[in-house]
Amino acid sequence: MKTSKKVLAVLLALALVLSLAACGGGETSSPASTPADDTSSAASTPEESTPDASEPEESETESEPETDDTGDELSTPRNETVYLGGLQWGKPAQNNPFAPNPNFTAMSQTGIARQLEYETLYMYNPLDGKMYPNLADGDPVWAEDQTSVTVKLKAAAKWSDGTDLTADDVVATFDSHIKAASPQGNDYGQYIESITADDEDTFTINLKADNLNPHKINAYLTAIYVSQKAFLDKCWSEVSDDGSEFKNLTMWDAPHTGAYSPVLYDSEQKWVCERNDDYWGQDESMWGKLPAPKYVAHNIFKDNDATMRALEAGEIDIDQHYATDLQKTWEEKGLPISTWFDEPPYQLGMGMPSAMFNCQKEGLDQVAVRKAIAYAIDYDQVVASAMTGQSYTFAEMPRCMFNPTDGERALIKDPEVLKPYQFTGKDIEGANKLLDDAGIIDTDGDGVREYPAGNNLAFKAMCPTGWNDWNAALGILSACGTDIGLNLETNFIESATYTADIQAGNFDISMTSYEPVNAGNPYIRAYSMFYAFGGDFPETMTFNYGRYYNPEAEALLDQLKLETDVEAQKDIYEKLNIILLDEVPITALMYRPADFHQVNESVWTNFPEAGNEENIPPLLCLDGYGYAGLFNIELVEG
Amino acid sequence: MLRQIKEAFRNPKFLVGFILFVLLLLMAIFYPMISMYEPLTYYATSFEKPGTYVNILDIANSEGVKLNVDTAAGRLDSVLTDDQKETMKDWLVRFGGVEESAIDLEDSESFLKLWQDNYDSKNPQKGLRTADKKAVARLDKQLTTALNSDSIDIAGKNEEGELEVVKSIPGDHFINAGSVGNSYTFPLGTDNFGADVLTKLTSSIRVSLRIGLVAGLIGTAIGLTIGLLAGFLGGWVDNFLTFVTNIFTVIPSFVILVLISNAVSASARGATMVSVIIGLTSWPWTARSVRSQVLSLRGRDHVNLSKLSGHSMPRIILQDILPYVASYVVMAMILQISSGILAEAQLSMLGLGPNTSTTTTLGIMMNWAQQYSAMQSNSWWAFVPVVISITLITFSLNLMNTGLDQVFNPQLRD
Repeated sequence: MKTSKKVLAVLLALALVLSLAACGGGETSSPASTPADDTSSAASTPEESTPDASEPEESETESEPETDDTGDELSTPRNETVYLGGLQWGKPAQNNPFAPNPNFTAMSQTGIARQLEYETLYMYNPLDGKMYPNLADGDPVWAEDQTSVTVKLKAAAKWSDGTDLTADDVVATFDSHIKAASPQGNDYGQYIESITADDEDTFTINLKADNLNPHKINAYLTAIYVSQKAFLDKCWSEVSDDGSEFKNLTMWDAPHTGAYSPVLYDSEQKWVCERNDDYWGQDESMWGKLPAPKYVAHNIFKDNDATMRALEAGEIDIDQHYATDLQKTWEEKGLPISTWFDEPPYQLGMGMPSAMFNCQKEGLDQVAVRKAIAYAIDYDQVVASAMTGQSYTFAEMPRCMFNPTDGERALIKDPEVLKPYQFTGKDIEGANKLLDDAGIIDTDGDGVREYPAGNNLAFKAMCPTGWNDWNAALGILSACGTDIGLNLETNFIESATYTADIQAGNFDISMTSYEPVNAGNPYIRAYSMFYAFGGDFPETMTFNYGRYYNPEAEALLDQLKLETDVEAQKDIYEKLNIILLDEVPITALMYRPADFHQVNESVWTNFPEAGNEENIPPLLCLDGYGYAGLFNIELVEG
Repeated sequence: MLRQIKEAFRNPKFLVGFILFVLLLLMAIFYPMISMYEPLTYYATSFEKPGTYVNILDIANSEGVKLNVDTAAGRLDSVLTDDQKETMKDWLVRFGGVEESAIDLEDSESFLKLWQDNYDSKNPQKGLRTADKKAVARLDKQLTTALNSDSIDIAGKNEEGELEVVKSIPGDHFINAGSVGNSYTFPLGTDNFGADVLTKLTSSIRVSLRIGLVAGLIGTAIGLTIGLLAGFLGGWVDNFLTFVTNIFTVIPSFVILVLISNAVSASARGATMVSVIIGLTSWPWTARSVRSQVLSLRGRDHVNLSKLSGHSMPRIILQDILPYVASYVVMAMILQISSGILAEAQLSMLGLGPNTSTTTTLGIMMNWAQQYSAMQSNSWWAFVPVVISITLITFSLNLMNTGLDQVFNPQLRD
C-alpha cells in the first residue's frame, strides 16, 4: 500500500513537471505567433490607406509591395535600419499632429520638433540659438513694428503624395489647430491673430496687437508641423467639423513632407518608418541627399533596464534615456558606446530641473526661507550622485536663467555683476544666518525653527515617483533640512496627479523644468518663471507654478518682449537674473540634456559629437537641427 | 513553561536560528553606535568599491620609504594587457604607417617606443568609430602616465601666484597605508548616494526588524482574537468571522497590501504606517488555524467542567484554551515577523514602502540600488549584502520556527 502511494506521488510529480514544461513551451511559441498577427494588421492598414489617399502617386504604389515584404518578416535589414531607444513605451496611438497625446514618437511637436515624418518651417539649433530653414526659404522677415512676419516656402518642398507644398497648407494647418482647439492651438492662438497666404509660396503671420509676443512666433515656426490642406479638408468633412472628433482621428495615411513614412505602427513591439526615396529634401536647396538609413525603427521595451540591456547589446543605435553611470559602459566594459563628451558631464545640458517654491505658502512666501534652502542644498552631490555626473556643476556653469549652451550664455552682459549673487550651495552657515536675521528661530529647542505662532517650519518636496534622478535630487535637498533647522521631507507621488497638483499650486516645494529648448528662449523661460497676471493668478497655472509675483520683473518682461536690440536685451536679462538669484522663486538643482543622447557604434558610426564641424546638436539625429546628423551617419566598415 | 523553554534551547535547529537572529539583532543595534559613519550622510557621490580610501594630498605630502622593487612593470602590466596590445598594433598598422612585420608584441619596450613615435591623436583615423578613437586616446593617456615612472614633480603656487616645484616624488617610494592622515574604510563600499553601505545596512536591519515585529504582533493579535472568538463561540459568530476570514484568504494579501499602500498618500507612509498596513493584511491564516484548534479544544472535558462551574467566557478562553494554543501562536508569530520583513522589502522595491528621508529599510536600499542600475554597473556591494541580510533574517526565524515545531508538535516529537 505504502509503496503504491509513493509510486503515485512520483507519477503525479512527473505529470506536474511535464505539464509545466508544456506550458513553458507554449509560452515560447506564443511570441512567434504574435508577430504573425501584427503582420496581418500592419500590412493591411497601409493597404486600406492607399484608396483613401486623395492622389495616389507612383511613389506610394511603388513602396506598397515593400511594405508587405517588411510586414511578412516584421524585420528590416540591420544594415539599413537605425534603431532608436528610450522614446516609445507603449503601442503608438495616432499619427495626428493635432492630438494632445498621439503617443507616436516618430513625431514630436516641441521646441525641437522631430523632423522624421512631418516637418516644420524652421529647425532650431540650441547650440547657436539659430533657426535653420527647413520648409521655409531664408529667414523670416519681420515688419518694422513686429506685428507681422512674412515667410517664404522652398520651391522644391513637396508632399509625400507628390503635390507641391503651398502657403495655403500653412494657413490651413493653423486654422485647424484653432478650430480643433488643439493644445498648440490653445497656446499659440493667444498670440497669433491669423495666418494669411500672400501668394503660392509666401505667407504672413499676423500677431495679436494686444498680446504682441514675437518670441512665441519663433517657437511656432520651429515647433509646429505643416499639414496638407487637401487632407485636412477631407478630415474635417469626415468628422463634420467636430473638433474633438478631429483630434481623435488616427491619420496614419496623412501626407507629410518628411523623408520617412510609418509602415509598421499597429504593434506592441515596435514601430518602423521607411524612407521615401522621392523625398524633396534631396534637392540642392535643402540637404542635397537622402538621409542615410532606409529604415528608422523603435523597439518598444518595458522599461529603462531593458532599454539599457539592448543598448549594450548593440540592438539600439541611438538611445534617449537616463542611463546611470553610463561612462562605465566604455570605461569598464569597453563597449562602442559614446555620448556628446567623453569626460564629465558627458551630456550637453539644456534644461534645468529646478526646485520651485510655492511663494503663496506660509513660510515660503519669505525670501529668507527660500534663499536659506537654496543656499543649503548640496548641488555638487545632486550632480555627482543623482545625475551620476551627467551634468555641469554650478561651479563650472554658474547659475542664472540661461541654459549652458553658447547661444543663451552669450546674452550675459557682464559675468562679474552676477557673481555676488550666484550661490553654489552647501552654505549652511550662510543659510542659518539668513534665517536668524529674519527672526525665524528655534525657540523650543527641538532642532526645528518655528513660525511666530509656534508651529514648526515643515515643508514637503514633491515630484513624481519613479523618476530616479529627480527622486534622488529631492532626497539630497531634504537632507539639508536638519542642518538649517527646517523640517524638509520628500513626497513622491503618482505622475498623473503631479501635473494637476503643480498647476493648482497644491505643493510646498516641487520639481519642475521650464522650457528646456525652444526657439523663443530664453524669453519664454523667463516668462514661465516671472509672468504673474499682475498678481491676480488664475486657479490653474500652466507656468510660474510657484505663483511668484514681482511687479518689477513683470515690467521687465514687457520691455523685453519687443526689444530687438541685443545690448538692450542683455541689460534687461541682467536685471531679471539678479531678481531670480536674489529672490529665489526657483532654484536649479542640475543641468539636464534636452535629449539624453547616447549612441552605440556597432552598426552605424559618424554620429555628431562635441565640436563637430557642422555644429549639429546632440538631439538624437531626429530633433530640430539635430536631424542633420541622420544625413551624415554611415555604416561601420569591415 | 521554563521546562518548555529549556527544551526548546536543547533543540539544535532552534538554537542555531536563535543565535543567528540574536547576532543580527546585536549587530543592528550596536554597529550604528560604534560606526564612524551616519547611515544617511553622503560620504562619496556614487557607488564606490569596498576598501580603504586614503587622501591623495596626504600621500603626496608624506615622506616615503624607498623599496627595492620594480615599479614600472607593475604599472605597465595594469594598463598593457594582451587585448590592448592587439588594439594598438591594429591602430599602428592602419593609421600609423607601420608595417605589420616591424611589430614585435613580445618586446614591450620597442613596441611601446614604436607606439609613442607613431601615435597621434590628431590623426583623422578615417573609418574608425568615434568610440574606438576615444578608447585609443584614453589608452595612450594611461600609457603616458604609466611610463612616466621616474619621478613626478609637484608644483604649488608661490606668493606671486606662479607655479613652483614644491616637491619631487621618486617613482620607487612607498608609504605605509596605515600612516596616512585622512583615510576612510568602507567595508562594504558606498551606495548610489555615497553613504556607507555597512552602516546603512545595519540601521536598515533594525528598522526592518521593527517593522516585521510590529506587523507580526498586529497580525497575530487580530488573527488570535478572531480565531478564539470564532472557534469558541461557534454559531453565527463563527459563520460570520469565518466568512470574513475566507474572503481575506482568497484575495492574495499582497494585492490588498499594494492597494492599501497606494491609497495611503506617500507623505503619510512612515515606517510605522507600513508595518500597520502589513499587519492588517497578514492575519487570515493565523485566524483559521487558531479557530480549528479552538474548535477541537472546545469539547474537551476540562473546558466543559469550567463551563459547568459557571466561569465566565473570558476566563475560560484565557485559562483553559489559550495555554493550549499558545505554543502554536508563538510559532505563527515568528513566521509573521519574517513575512512582514519580506513584505516590506517587496513593497519598497515597488516604490510603495515607507516614504521617509530620515530612516532607511532593507527594501528601500534595494529600491535605490535597482533605480541606479547597481546590477548593470556590477556594483554588487550595493545589493548583495542586503539580499543576504534578508535571507539570514528569514532563515533564522524559520529555523527557530521549525525547532519549536519539533519541540511542541507531538507528531514530530522524537
